[in-house]
Amino acid sequence: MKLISVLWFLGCLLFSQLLYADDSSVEYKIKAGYLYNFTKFITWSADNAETFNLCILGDDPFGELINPIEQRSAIGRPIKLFRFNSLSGLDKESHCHILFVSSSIKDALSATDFDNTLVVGESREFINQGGMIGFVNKQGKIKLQVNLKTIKQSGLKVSAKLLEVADVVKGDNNE
Amino acid sequence: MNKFVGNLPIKRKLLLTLIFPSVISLLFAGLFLIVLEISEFQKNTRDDLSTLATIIGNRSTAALMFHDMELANENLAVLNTLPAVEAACLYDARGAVFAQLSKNNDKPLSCPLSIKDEKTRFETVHLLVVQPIIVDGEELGNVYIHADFTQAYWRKIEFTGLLFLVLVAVTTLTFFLTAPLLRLISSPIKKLVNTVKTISDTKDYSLRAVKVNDDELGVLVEAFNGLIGTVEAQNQSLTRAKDRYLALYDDNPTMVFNLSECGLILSVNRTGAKQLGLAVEELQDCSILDFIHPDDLSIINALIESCLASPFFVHKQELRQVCYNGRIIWVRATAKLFETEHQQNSLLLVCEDVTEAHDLSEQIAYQASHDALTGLANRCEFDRHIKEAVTVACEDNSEHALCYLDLDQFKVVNDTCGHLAGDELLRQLGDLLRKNLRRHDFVARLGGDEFGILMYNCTLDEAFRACEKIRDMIKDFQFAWEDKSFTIGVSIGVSSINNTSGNAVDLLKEADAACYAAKDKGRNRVHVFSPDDEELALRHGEMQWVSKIKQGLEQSRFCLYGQPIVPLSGNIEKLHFETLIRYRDNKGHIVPPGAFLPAAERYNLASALDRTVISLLFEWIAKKPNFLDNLSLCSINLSGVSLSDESLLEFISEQFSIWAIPTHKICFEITETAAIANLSYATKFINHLRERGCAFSLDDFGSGLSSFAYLKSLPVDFLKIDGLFVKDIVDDKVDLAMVRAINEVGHIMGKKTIAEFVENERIFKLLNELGVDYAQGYGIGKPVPLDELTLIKPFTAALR
Repeated sequence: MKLISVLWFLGCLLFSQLLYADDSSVEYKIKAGYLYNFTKFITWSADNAETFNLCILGDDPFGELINPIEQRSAIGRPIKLFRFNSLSGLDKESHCHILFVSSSIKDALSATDFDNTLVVGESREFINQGGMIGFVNKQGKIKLQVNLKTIKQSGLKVSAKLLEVADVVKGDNNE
Repeated sequence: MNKFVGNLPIKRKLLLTLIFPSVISLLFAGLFLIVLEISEFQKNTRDDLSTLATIIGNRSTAALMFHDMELANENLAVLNTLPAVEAACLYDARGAVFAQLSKNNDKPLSCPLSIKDEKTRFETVHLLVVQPIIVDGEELGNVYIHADFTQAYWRKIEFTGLLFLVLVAVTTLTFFLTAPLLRLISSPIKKLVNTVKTISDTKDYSLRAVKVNDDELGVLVEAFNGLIGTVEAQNQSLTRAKDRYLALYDDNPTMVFNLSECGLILSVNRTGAKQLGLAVEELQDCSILDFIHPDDLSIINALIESCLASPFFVHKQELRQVCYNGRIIWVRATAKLFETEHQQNSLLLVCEDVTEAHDLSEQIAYQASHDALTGLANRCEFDRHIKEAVTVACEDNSEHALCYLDLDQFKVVNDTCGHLAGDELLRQLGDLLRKNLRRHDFVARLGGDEFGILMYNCTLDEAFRACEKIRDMIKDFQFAWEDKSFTIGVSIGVSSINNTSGNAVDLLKEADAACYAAKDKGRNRVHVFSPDDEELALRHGEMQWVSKIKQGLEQSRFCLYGQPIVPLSGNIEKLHFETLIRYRDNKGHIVPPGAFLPAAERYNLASALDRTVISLLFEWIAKKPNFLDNLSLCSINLSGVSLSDESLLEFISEQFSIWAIPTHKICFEITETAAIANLSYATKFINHLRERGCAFSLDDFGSGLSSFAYLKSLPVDFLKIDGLFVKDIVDDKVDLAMVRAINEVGHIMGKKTIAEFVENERIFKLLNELGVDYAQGYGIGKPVPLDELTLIKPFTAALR
């Protein structure tokens, strides 16, 4: 009951903000929600981290919008936000379970090996540049693009349900 | 209801037993089936749709999370394949419609705006399914499905209906298949019941129930038949016993009455009713007194009273009953009181019709006291009256008169016209006397031609005058017989009965003596008794003959005559005659045996006379030279007494040997009456002499008992046809027939026949024509002394 009322409150908070914010803030609010939703469809291999680490690489487009996510938990751990300015600055000790690469980062990520990390970007080419899931804006709606190959390479397992809602899936065996 | 079912016939009950559970089970099974079917259907559809909703919800989690409406729609589209689903909606976490399935129906159901309070439930034929979508404890939304199962329910109803119809059909079929089985039970019961009803209605216990099967009913039928058999047997034996006793009661030759104490007829048997001439029913409640002779009412009343007085004894009485038609019958009534079951006394009266016996005894009494010929009282009765008169005279000093009448010329009539004429004369004289005496005077025939008159309250003078009148009357009486006319006289002796008279025998003797005195004085007169008369009478009576016979035997006053017997065939035979006895009195007159034979027979001298005849005859034959050579047969009369005289046989044998008479020349004549009087000894007597060669002839055949039956047992050689028949044979056809019959019977029995009283040639000729063997009579030859006997051949011209 408590959980429901909390969620209700959170939902209300999210949508109230969504209603009064501009398009950009609405978009990132949704994206922040999606990032959280990914935890439901992705299975990470076991590690020793005590928290579920959500890392934002580059300019933070969410700002304060994403902060409430830290009150929630994923795979049984509290979510903790980490912000990094560059790829090299990634903290090796605090492993990122989800790495959001903002559009400010133009470097190709293909060379980089992301083990047990879901790499999420927000450009159309992101999945072709070694990313795993990319947010694309399509007719005012945020759609997902998924590169299964990279996800598999990182040792993650992805739910078919996520693939069903994805707009584009790359690296499928069929391709 | 229960009673109604209870009163139904067994067949209906069985039918009901069969149908009722079937219908009930069918009904309950049907209901249960429907309920079960519906609940199962509801559960299944609910489960199915819930599962579907769960799957859809599960599959739509990503779509909800990532706002992919198309995917949600695709997921919902799965429900399109289910025709029952009317609407399907997907609500997001906020409760707003996220996706919606719209079917191609004309009237699509829109999703309700809010399903906040909705739950999975059935609404009549509609099913609403609300399935929340929960991921990691968070409710992402709800799946709402609305299904309309109207058609499915219809199909269910159709199916159930079909099933029900099949069940009904099967039940009906079962019923029709069971019906013969029911008949197996009900039909024998019905037959048994019908038989029982028929037996109970008709009381015909010979009927039997038909055993159909070997089951319990068969056993019941057998037991029933056994019972009915017992009932029938007992019924029959009861009926037989009842019939037997009824026959014993109704066909009893005596009249049986059941009377109340006052004489009402409670019941009567058929014989009684028949005797009285009414039906049994008509007699009931009549009084027995109505059928009793008025003179005997006191007897029956006394009988009833004595029965009531001493109930343990049987009481008897003889009384007269008057039948309905007025006929009077004598009955011997036997009565006894008995107690009926209701403590009421009734009388059992048994009446036996003794009219015949009574009449017979009266007749016998009458005959014992009356003379058969004249109808007057006889000597015995006369004696009784004399005794009474003597007693009365002694008691009241009255005087009565006793008259003794003897007819004077009666013998003339008897001898010239025969016994019939004599009898007729006596009858007429009896009537004459009866009519011409005072009413209270008493007339009796004392025997032969003797009458007695008792005149009550009559002095000797009066009696004398009365007797004179009688004498005159008889003298004037003309007796006509055929063409002859006779006048007769009477001698009357009178004696007085008074208080000095002796006994009845003496009185009668006195009157007899007086009568004899009257005769002695010259007949046809009245004589009053005086003591001298007694001596006179004694001299002239039978007693006189007794001494005469005795004297005659001593003085050889008897002599023998002979009357010839000749053959009718005309054949020349030797001398054949009948020996006759005669008495020669001291004046030399020959007296015929009619005068002395009655006295001889009465005083036991007949046998002595017979012996005299035999010895005289044998002596005469033995002394008469050459007589035996000319003799064919000589017959000797034997009296009845001689036949039973055992010493006579010895005497005869002795005489045969003394005089050397050949036995075959002697024939003994006996009378039928004498022979029958002692038949066994007579037969022995005859047989004994016949063995020695003597012949026998039966004298006066036809006048006595004349039984041909006796003739068979009497071994005689000759039959002498009574002269009474023979003498009128020419004029009287009856006599002719009699003679012819006796002759024929005699011949068939191998006997020779001899006709007596052959008085003229016409008789002789007729007898010859009839085939009679011998003839004897005045027409042929009168009795003559033996010495004068010659061989005669009469009426030779008349013979063939």
